[in-house]
Amino acid sequence: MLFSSTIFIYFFLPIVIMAYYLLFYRSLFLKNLFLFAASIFFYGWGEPKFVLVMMLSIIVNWFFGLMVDRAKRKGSKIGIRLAIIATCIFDLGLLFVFKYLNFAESIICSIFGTSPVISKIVLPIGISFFTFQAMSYVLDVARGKGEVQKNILNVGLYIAFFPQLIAGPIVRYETVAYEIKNRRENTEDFFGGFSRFIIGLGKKVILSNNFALLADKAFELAPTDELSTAMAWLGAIAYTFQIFFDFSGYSDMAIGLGKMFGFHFLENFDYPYISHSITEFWRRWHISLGSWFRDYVYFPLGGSRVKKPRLVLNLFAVWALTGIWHGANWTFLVWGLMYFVLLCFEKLSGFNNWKIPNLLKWLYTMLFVILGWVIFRADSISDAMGYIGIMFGITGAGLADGIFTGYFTQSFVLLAIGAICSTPATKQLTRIKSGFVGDVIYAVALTALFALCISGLVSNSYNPFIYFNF
Amino acid sequence: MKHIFVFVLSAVIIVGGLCSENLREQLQNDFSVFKTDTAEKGVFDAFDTFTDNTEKTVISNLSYHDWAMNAYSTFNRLIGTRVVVKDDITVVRADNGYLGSMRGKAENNTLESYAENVSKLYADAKDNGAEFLYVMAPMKGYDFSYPPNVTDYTISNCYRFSEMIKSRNIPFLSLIETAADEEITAEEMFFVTDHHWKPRWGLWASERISNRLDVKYDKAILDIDNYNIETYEDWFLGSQGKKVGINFTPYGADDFEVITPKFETSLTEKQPYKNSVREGDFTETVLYMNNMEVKDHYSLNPYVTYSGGDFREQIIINHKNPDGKKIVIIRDSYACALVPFLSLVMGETYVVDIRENSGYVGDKLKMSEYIQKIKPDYVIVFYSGLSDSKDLFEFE
Repeated sequence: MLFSSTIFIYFFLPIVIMAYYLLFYRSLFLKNLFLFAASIFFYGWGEPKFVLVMMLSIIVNWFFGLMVDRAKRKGSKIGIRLAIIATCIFDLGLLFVFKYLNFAESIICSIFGTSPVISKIVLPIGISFFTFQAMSYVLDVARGKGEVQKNILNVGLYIAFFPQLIAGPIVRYETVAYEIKNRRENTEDFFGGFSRFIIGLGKKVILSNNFALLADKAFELAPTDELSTAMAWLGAIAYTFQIFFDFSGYSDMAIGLGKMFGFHFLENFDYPYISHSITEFWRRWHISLGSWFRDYVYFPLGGSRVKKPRLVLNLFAVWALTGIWHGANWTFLVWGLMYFVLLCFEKLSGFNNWKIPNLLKWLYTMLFVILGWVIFRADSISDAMGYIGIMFGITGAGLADGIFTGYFTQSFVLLAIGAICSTPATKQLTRIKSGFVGDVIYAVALTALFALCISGLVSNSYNPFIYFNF
Repeated sequence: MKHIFVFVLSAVIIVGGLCSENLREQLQNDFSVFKTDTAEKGVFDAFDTFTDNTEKTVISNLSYHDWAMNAYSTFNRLIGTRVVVKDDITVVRADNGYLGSMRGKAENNTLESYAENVSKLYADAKDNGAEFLYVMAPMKGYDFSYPPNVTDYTISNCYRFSEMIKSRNIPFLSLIETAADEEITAEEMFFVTDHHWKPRWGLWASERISNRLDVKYDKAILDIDNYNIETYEDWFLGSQGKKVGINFTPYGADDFEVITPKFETSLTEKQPYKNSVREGDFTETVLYMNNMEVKDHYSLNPYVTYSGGDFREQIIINHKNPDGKKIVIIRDSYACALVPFLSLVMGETYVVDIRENSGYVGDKLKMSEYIQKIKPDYVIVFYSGLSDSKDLFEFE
């Protein structure tokens, strides 16, 4: 089930809200049980077969959490380590089987010249997210960042909670551990959360879906001789907007929905396209993933408090893993390693202290971000290189053509809206002086946005889901 | 406070959307299908279908579905969109505001195989003593200008196919060329929002075909001045318009003409596969006026007022011309506007649709056998330009 679907908006969400607040409100146990059941239903609606995979993950990680807690109480460091190792083996093993096994086999086959024997394994949607969340539970219990949950239901709720189940953000256990057992819903969170949901829905349905059409067209033309340099750039920029609005839109919806039930997730995007360095970009983009790798991989490896060769190795590990987390393809690895190279450059050269105009720093950052998205989007390294070659005029159908002219004139307004909405300018709009008139204007505007989103869904416009790799 | 207003207004939108009589019924129907499918396909496959179907059901049956389509089409126009991509079609707004559907370039091999099949059909017709004619109906957009970021191969496909037909010496009538010769523009001939032509051009085509076949008939029968024309304004949102919404084009919905003869008619219209027989005058037989009872842009298709739609086999007997010629028309949906008028100059009209379509009642007919059985005076293939469906050319 997707948030941007009529089944979710017209049935699932209203029923869950009504049942939660009218039937189960007086009992925390019943509220949690109900949310867990609703989350299982939510996941099962789209992936009925893989509900069992998620249930298995919940049971096993709950058990490992208990193991860690027991070892901690006994003061057994070896016991803690063994439990953590077992957690990593199980969770990463699960992820490997479903996400990387076919890819690994294809590599082996290409090296040894053999044919694949393993059938195509279907990837359960959201496995990358809920696996990392499950690991986070055990690791945070081990680190003392959250209380162990003796009640498996609470672990289940944490791992499977529908707002962040299929597209993040990756909610750390320490963020919600307290709220699982002690949250206090209030009207400000509830209604504010719903408004946040609408903003996210608008980003997804109105902006991202329309940019998707443009991006898909450019990438479809790339292997032919019909893509001009200008159209290649237009397509790359469209994808840059598409992925941002899709991902941040989903995060907004998740954060908003979480608030409606008393959970407070951390922000996942902070206007990444205003960054003046790659370092800054990764402090603003997919913050939950970046901080997960920082806290669970980078810091345990020593972080930046090591000698330079070790620092480079630590960065390599983090960015190779970040890349490969996104999907089982060489393109994702190359994308991750591109950031490794750039971050090494920035860290080792003291780039942030360079006295160059911010505009140049921003252009440098956006250039590599856009090129990175081309690699990310492409089906293969050769497709990515081909596309980039066209962007720089090495190949392709000339500088500009009718295809570019047509799409540019038809998407100019959308591009302008996308550019504005990528900056904090829109935040200023929501800070309209409060008062009755201001509140009415805000309410009318947001309701109009909601109505427009509904009409976008009804018109059955293009509504791609780009997280099938995750 | 503002967030409370947002929530309340949005809740009204959600509840309002669910106030639809059809919605509950359709959802129950989807559930019944799920139960049936579970027995046939297994629960997981059935559930996949069920979840897809329910999403489509909700979208199609929200109480303000039409309003929502129109609102989004307004939004699309405001932001300058001219190309809308759907799963099954790409709709483009031409420079003149008309809607068009883009078609890809047909492979030469494919067109050659179609032409070869037509050649064989021609031979079968000749062997059975029938005069044969391949009629290429005009395709929408033959003189439209589309934005530079789309390419439509519809007309170029037609022209290439025409050459292949001509090179095989198959009797051929291109209504695209006829329209061009008579300086009839595509804007005059076609609906803004639908891929079909306007019904009055079915009458025009009947005259061109009858003259080409040298049919002896009273010219008054195909003279439009001998017809009553009732115009239903803003009545018809065509297939393309239904995909993109009424405000995607500056013209809104099309007007629709119901054209009925001023002179007396007496016909029988039969559909053997459906055990359907209709007898009476023109309006009672070859027109299906139930499609004009209510204006409903998104649920009804007024175009099928003419001939009733697409059927496996339809037979029209003209009691005013008992000694008239017998014709077999192998057709697609453009013939809906043709057949009612052409049947008035024939004695018996046999209309056959050979496409693979699960909605058709009756098995696909083999044309060589059919022609042998009917022994017509004329066999015409009446296709709109060049259709994508390869099964249109599988005459056996």
